[in-house]
Amino acid sequence: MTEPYTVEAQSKDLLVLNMGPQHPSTHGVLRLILKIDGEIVREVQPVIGYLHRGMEKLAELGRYPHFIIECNRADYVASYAYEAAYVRAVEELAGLQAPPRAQYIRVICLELDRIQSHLVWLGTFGLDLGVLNAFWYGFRERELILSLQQELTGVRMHPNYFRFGGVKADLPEGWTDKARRACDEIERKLDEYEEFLAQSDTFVMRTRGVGVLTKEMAIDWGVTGPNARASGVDFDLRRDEPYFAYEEFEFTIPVRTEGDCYARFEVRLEEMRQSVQIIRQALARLPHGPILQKGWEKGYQFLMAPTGEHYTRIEGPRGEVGIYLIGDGTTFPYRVKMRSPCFQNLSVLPELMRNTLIADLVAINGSFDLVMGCVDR
Amino acid sequence: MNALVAELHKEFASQIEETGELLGKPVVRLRRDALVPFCRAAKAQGFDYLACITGVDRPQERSLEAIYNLYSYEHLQHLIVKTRCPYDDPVLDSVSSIWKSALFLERETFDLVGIRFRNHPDLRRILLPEPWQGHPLRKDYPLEREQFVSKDAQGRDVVGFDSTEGW
Amino acid sequence: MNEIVFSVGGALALIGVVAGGGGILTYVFRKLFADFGQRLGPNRVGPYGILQFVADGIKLVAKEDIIPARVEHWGFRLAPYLTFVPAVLAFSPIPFGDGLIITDVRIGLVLIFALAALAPLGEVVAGWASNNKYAMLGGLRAAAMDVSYEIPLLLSAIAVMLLAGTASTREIVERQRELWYFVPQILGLFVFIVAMIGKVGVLPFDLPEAESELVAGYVTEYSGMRFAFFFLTLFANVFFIAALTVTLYFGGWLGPFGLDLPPMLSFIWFFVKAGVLVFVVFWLWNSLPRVRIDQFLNINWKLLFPLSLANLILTATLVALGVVK
Repeated sequence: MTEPYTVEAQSKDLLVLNMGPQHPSTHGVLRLILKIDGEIVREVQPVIGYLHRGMEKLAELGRYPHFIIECNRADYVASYAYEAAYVRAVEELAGLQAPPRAQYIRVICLELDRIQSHLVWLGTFGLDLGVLNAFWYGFRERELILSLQQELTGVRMHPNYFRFGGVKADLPEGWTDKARRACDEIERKLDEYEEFLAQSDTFVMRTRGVGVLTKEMAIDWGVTGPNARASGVDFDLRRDEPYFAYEEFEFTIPVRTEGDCYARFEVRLEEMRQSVQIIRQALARLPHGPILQKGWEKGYQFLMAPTGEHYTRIEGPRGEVGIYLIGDGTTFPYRVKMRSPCFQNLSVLPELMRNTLIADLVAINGSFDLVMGCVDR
Repeated sequence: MNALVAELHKEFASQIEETGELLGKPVVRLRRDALVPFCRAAKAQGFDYLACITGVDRPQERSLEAIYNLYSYEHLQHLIVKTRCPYDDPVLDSVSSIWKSALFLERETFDLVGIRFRNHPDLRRILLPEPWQGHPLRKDYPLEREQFVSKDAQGRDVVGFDSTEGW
Repeated sequence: MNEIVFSVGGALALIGVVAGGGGILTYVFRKLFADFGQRLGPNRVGPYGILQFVADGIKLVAKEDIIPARVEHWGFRLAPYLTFVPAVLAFSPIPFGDGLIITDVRIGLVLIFALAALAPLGEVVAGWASNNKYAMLGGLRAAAMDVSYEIPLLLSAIAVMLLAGTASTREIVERQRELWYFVPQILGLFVFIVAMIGKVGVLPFDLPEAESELVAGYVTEYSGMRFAFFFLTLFANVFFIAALTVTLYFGGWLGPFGLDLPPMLSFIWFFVKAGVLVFVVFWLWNSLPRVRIDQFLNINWKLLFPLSLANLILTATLVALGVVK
């Protein structure tokens, strides 16, 4: 057993500052123990686990479908991502295949969710930098998407909508038109955000060259998603390992090589535009037909996955959401490992924050888009 | 099986207990002393990204299993590496010197499953408080015994089975 | 006897104006902030929520007076007044209208800056006495900022004094009857406004409070009425920026194009101009990100300081050559 960590300064010259778990810009319950030299941060020690709910244990205690409800609580800002990853893992293990219409609906949901999650990020990142209004603007457009999701799934945030072999319910009457209108609205607003933030010198001053993550570091530390793509890792699971129906859509993957906070901002903004494109294509070509695999309309409650194991990953808004699923031939999963993108992205933060100013630390933390529920599970 | 993995197979033929495939992803089961040399060779082959470490409790075999998901951004190729350690000596070598992402993943596996990683620079619990009793993802973890987290006067975490304990 | 009555009356009027004005400004700020963010803002207390600031005041007074256990008691109690009193007194030499001036002295401008320079003292004391690391960082930031903005601020004010040939605020306004000083002093005006916003500490320069970095900076441990003093000081200072800028650069109570009002009503022009400037400050507050502390110091030392020095030398030369009077 190693020594427990105590909050004591190692050197007399450094001041230990406990940032969080209650702090305005640690995005939930992240706790950072800083050792600062004046305004300069010399060492960062992240302390996590304040939101640990033992999800992997809960998964073993319920039947297969029960965990759909639980896993979307993990990343409470982008609930669909974990749900999709888990559903896909079970489908592949059990040999199920969702019909095309369900696949398309899933893609629409996931992309709406991505936009919604990035909008939350945009607002909170603005708040971290002191642009109070970015917060209101981001949440205003998010509301459009949440009401769409509410109409579709009955709830705003934790949908429990995907099913093994399909989705829960078909699109309501007139939903596609509303979605199209929301897409137009959001695309127009995205230009406004770009004007509002990217053309503001102060914003650029605060983000350019701050928290530079190199490509080698990104790969070595397991950073994925928009954060890695801002560092030049040209990889996106939607394009490189297509799942659901992603291979049928045309979209580009924004990549930047600077690796600073500004690049992460640019990548996310561009990703939202691409998501709008995907949703438009999916709405235009939405196939008709069933939404659940035949024969599974009632019987999924006692789904019995065969003995075996499988690693599935999908591209969540924050990076690679992975599920390592082990089945033992019963109706209970033997082990569900949730590979959290935020957990890995967080691990590199102490490296980036070393020898920066406190203000930069806040900017870096904001630009990484951590959701503590996703980190702690 | 592709050329990359085949080469690794050749090099470590005596250390590999079992090979197979999981839905298209090659799987290698290693003897536990071969883990670090194998991983180092795999990294040299281009497996530059360690995505995930999964710790699994296997009560039937009285052992703990660790599963490493490797990926190569260059060759777009998966590799799953598995290894085991027995209950009475739950120690594996740390791969954190090869992939930095293992630093947090190994801490998590230690915390929840109880595999100790030798040569890990900072092996502490990560999600649960330091004095927590037991490792929750073991199959024999007593769920009915509640543990209560509190602080002592110095601000350190205290865990007890009585809700009135602590500061 | 008359003088005493006048002094006491003036002091009470000053406090009343500052407290009431500060309160109304909080309401204006919240309404504007809501409009910028496409929200409603206060709309429950009184018509259009206009009494919200009264309700807030009552709430703050009625709140429990919490003094954390291990603070430095004297400093903690003293700090709110150390910031509030100079901020109020600094209004006394400002001419709100023709003859509407409480302390008409020949060194009015010097007095204003002497009083205004006391403000960071209270912030540093609050930061130190709170026995809180965030508060201390906030206090240190206030001190670091103080030494950097004071110099460009004073240099640009000295240029105005040179131009007017007097330090009396009333006379500075009188001299602007032909030409408001923002025309010859456009450079000085820019420096003055930026440094002044830094002095008051609102976004983009609200570093001592920086809520996303230092929780609330030097006011972290304060609550209730003591917090209200800091809060009121902030809004009084926003109005102070506007009042001083109007006096120095925009002709005080004088109307544009010779449209002067009679002396008793001349304050209307003053408040109209000040209101526009307050709006500009709120606008900046709501749309700019916060700069970093090193960037703030750089702006002051490497941009504003040379600019204000150049402006001063230019003004001095022009005055010496008799180009402007």
